Amino acid sequence: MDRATNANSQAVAGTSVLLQLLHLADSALPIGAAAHSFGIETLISEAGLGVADLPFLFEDWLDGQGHTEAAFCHWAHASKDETEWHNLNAVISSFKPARESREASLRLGKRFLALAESLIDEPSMRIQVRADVHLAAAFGKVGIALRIDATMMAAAYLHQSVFGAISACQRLLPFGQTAAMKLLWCLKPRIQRAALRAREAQPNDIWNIQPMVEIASMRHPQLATRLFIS
Amino acid sequence: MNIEAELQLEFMRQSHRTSFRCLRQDPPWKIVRGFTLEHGESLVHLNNVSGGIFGGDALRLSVQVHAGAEAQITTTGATRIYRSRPEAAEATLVSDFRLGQDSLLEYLPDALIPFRSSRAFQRTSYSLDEGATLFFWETVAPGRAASGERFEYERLKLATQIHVQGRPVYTDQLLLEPSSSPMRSPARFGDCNYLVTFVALRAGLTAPELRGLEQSLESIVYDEIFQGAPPPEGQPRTSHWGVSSLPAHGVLVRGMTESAVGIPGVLQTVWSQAKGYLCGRVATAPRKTY
Repeated sequence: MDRATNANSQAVAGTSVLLQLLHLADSALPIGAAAHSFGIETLISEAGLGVADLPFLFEDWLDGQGHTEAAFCHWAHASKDETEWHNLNAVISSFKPARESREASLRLGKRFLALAESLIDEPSMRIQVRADVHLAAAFGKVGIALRIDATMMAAAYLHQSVFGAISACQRLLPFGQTAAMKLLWCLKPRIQRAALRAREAQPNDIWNIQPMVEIASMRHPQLATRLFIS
Repeated sequence: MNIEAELQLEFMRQSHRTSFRCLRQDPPWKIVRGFTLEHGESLVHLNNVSGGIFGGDALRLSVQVHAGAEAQITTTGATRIYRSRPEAAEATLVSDFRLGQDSLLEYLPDALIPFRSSRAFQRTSYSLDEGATLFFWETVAPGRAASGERFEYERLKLATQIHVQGRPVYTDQLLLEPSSSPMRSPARFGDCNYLVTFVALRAGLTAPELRGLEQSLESIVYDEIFQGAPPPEGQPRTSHWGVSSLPAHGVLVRGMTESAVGIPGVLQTVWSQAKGYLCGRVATAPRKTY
């Protein structure tokens, strides 16, 4: 194979991976992500969260919960077999004490995995046991099947999650399209950092730094009026 | 000089009551005696003769509640985390509770108060066998609030894990670093100062029983008495309480409040409700002066 042909086939393979990732990490992927606010609706309704707080909210989220979710994605990508992967999902559930957020993550994870299974013809995508599946773990699993690097999958997962949360803010606050896109753009280095840091993360060094978000998620079913589901 | 100290306790069922043995107690830990409660539970007060933990100190607490035994453990006062010297390692408090089959543990310590410039790591783990029941609470103060000290500590790491028959059901790893991150962010503490946690759990609780426990706690926690008067239009709440079932076996109640007033009452009420639901009997407050 000459140099030009080799470069061409590498470009084709790279483009193929990019297109697959763009597809699966699209915030409009039909898995129901737009129906969940993960506590943000309660923070706005009861804790005074406003537009000015959003950059800090998402920067903190990426340093804490986002880093944790990226670590889950990495661990799922590194899981040796299906048993290990299912055990990881049980661990992830234990890290989500708020039922609203836990069930949202499970619902999205199951739908994401089912959709990916229908798209990707790979033995590793044929899951034998239909137990709890979290979205971060499903991303890691799909990364194995598509042979996409774990950090790339974690970054794509975080990008999809932040995009979804920013979209929720647009529906709840006087927060325009341009401002929303600017915020997401500015958060990309933070997303990258969270995904990279998670490569070396161990279970004992992932931390929640936003305790009010969890309480807000627990309180969400009690809100008198809700745009998002609990 | 840094201190490494361990306290080891075990509780055993003997006929209709529970007895306890202190296997090891290094200063500053001190156990004076146990009390037998109305239903045969053994109540033990943990004393820390230094009143708290100094920078660099490593305290360890190991508790084994054997099958069928019933233990209630509390402290004689708040646990103070004293200011650390710059060169000192973080203070550590590692607690390990093992609950045998059909045993009961109520771990009801007073508040944790991190002083200005303190650094600490508290790791607490609970391991339950089939049928074991656990109630625990925790209150974290913002500092010496009475003297106006709020979030002036350097770093507080709080890690709590619960395993039921080897499976994880609750993992909470909270990092609070007021020295580098503003605690007043609406996603951190907002206008609140105190963080309160209560867990009620029985190994082997069925899904309907779990939902029943959650609903019974929701019915009282979301009552207006707990939430306080609604804030004026446009103003955030200064008291937030939430209830949620864990993935299995138990329910978490978590709250944040501006003031410490009322926290003991809330904890007593949710504990009583949960104990009534899980054990069919009243919760007896630890014998001490509040």
